[in-house]
Amino acid sequence: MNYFYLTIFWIITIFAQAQDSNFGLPDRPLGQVSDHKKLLPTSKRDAWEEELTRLLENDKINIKLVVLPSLYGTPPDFVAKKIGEAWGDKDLQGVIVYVPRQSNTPAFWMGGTKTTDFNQDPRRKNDMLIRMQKRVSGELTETDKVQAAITELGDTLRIFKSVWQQYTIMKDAAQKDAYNRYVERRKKSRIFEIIAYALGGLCLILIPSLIILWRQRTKVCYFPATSARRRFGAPYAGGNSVAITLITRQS
Amino acid sequence: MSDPSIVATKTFSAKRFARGAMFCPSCTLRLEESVNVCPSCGFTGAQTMQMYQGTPPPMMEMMDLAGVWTDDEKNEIQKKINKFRSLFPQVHWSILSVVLPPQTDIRTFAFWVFNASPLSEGQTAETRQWTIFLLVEPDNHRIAVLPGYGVEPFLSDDQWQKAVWGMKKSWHEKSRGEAVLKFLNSARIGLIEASKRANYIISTSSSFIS
Repeated sequence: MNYFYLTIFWIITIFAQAQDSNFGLPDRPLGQVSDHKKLLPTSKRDAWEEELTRLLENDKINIKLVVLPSLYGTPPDFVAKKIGEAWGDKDLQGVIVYVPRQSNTPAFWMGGTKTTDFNQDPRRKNDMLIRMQKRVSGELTETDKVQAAITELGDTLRIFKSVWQQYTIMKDAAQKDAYNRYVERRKKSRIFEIIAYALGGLCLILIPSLIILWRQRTKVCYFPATSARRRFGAPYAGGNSVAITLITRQS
Repeated sequence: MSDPSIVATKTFSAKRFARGAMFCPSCTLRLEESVNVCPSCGFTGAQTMQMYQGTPPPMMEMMDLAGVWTDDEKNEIQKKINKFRSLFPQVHWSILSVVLPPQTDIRTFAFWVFNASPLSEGQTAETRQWTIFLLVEPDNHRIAVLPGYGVEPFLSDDQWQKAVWGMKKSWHEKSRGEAVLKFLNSARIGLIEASKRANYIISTSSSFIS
């Protein structure tokens, strides 16, 4: 029984590898349009090349249009993803795979850190792709479909970019705000620390001074009782007096 | 500063603490021992009763008969005496200002007042003996200080003289209240030092207990 399942597993694995290996990645083009087999009319190829180059130069959005004679049964989405990962721009990129006279193309793929990092929910990205797919499938001719795919993908990536920029600005502002708040908090705590240290120092000086002062105020001095040296028959004082004239008549 | 139980229960010989010699108030002869009649001038306490007729008034803390001090000055002096009392519970003060004829011997006069004055209410012979008498004679700018038997051994004449000379500047400037305050300050310093010395003597030797 175990051998049966193991055999099934190997068959599936080999099939999947065969399907993957059926399609070989085309060479990376110098421009934005890859059409090694010259399947597109020259005017269209040049026009799309120009449009995609303008998009790259002006908006820094890298969209590759890959025209292939066949996908050998490989799903176009998968091919687009493979190409995007192989050639791609790590920040923001899109790939349109177009096989003339194949109904499920043009197929899209979009990726890069700006789409993955910003949009954490893959379902939203998938919704965007489905919407684009619907828009493209609404066109009557294949040329219009490719044109629509370029426009839709360009617009979507532009939205991504602008949202990303906005997000970056907000993130920077939030960071700056957080930094400012941190600085303010630190400043306040510094002031508090300085005041606390000053008060502590003052207490260190003041408390011993007050204790000394209090001890001085409450100090009591006693003299030992002595036997009186009575003389001249005087009961209280023997006459050991000091008599001084502070100002003489002459002065 | 000192153990009150010791100083209160025992009586010590005055000679052990004596800072200076004894003198005759009349001729200022130095006396080697207690005598009833001065061997030089024949002075006795009874003679003062004939020299100064009548009976002096009871000794109060402030007796400004000559009107030397203003009311504010008297208050300040009284405050100082009150502080003195809390620092030295045994010691009492009596300050008298009086106008005397220039030929009156201020020493014998002070001696007469101190000994002939009747005890006031609440005063005992012991408290009188622990009294320091300051006599101020403003017209002739004469000052006399006479300590009772209790205080006498602890401060020398030099110390009292120094305290009185300390009054000179203020006295000259007509600040007579301040002059007395300065005197009291000097006396306070001298008495603190004297108390320390006396208690040191007690703590280092017990053989002189009489």
